[in-house]
Amino acid sequence: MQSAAIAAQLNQYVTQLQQEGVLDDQFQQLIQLQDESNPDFVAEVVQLYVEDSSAKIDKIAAMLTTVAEPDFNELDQLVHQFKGSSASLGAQTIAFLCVKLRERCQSCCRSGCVLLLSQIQQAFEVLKERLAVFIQLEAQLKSMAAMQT
Amino acid sequence: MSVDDDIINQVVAEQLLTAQNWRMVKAHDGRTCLDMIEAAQVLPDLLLLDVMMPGMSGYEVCTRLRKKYSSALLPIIMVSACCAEKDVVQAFRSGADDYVMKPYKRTELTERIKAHIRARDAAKGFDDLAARVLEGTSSSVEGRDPGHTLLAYPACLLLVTKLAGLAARLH
Repeated sequence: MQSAAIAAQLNQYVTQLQQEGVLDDQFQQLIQLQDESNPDFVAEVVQLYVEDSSAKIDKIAAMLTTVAEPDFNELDQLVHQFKGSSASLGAQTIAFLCVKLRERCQSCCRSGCVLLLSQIQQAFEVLKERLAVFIQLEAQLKSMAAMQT
Repeated sequence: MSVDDDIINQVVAEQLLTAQNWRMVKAHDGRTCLDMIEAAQVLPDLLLLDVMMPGMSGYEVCTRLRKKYSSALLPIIMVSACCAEKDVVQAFRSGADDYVMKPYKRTELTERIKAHIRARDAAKGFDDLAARVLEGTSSSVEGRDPGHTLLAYPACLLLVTKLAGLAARLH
């Protein structure tokens, strides 16, 4: 009964994140891909995404702040990659902000890029917190299920 | 084989494909993909090829592969987050057999892969049959009753022509 309650709480939480626009349907697709052969799939993808995205954000920041004349082509490619991985996870807000950042890169607008990077950094912090709660709930559910078997 | 410079996409693709009991081999850029295919004893059943990659683009990889391998030997599905008509057109002009948007939709991707593998197998089947028919025709000409040969040859030629036409449509 308790695991059913946690499962319901988990589903409700994901729905809430979708309603907030933090995640989209793609995250549900990842949850559906998780199976007995890979029971930690979602947690692994989340961890991989958080690590990879942190590195990308740091690199974008360095390209915009430490270099006199940013290479906007290289920046655009990096942001495109970040957009792609965000979309694959279902990180809707971040993927959207990456689209906007790409537009600034393509128009070589440094100040616009800096502003959008700041928005991405804020959105990323929010996403990390939300995903941490999801992982915690999922771990509780698995622990309950293990105790019952 | 999946060729993509983004690690998240690769992980998701692998989970998606292994759920169908397919084995996925990964390459993270175009050059590595070409080297792996060159070195492999057996071609992959199908290639999922990202468009935008550092160094060599998916278009260039596809163009180079098509110089050596037809669709019957190596179906190629190009994948991209871009959906503009010019991107899709360029993919097909470089020799791709299909174009799929990222992020992947599980059912759509798996059904497209199955369809391309079915088409590849059918084309291989026709090629093999045509080769056997031609082989049979030439051995008829060499040693057998000329009357038999005169009757058999036009029929074989007609069959081979029909098979070749069908194979071309599948390609």
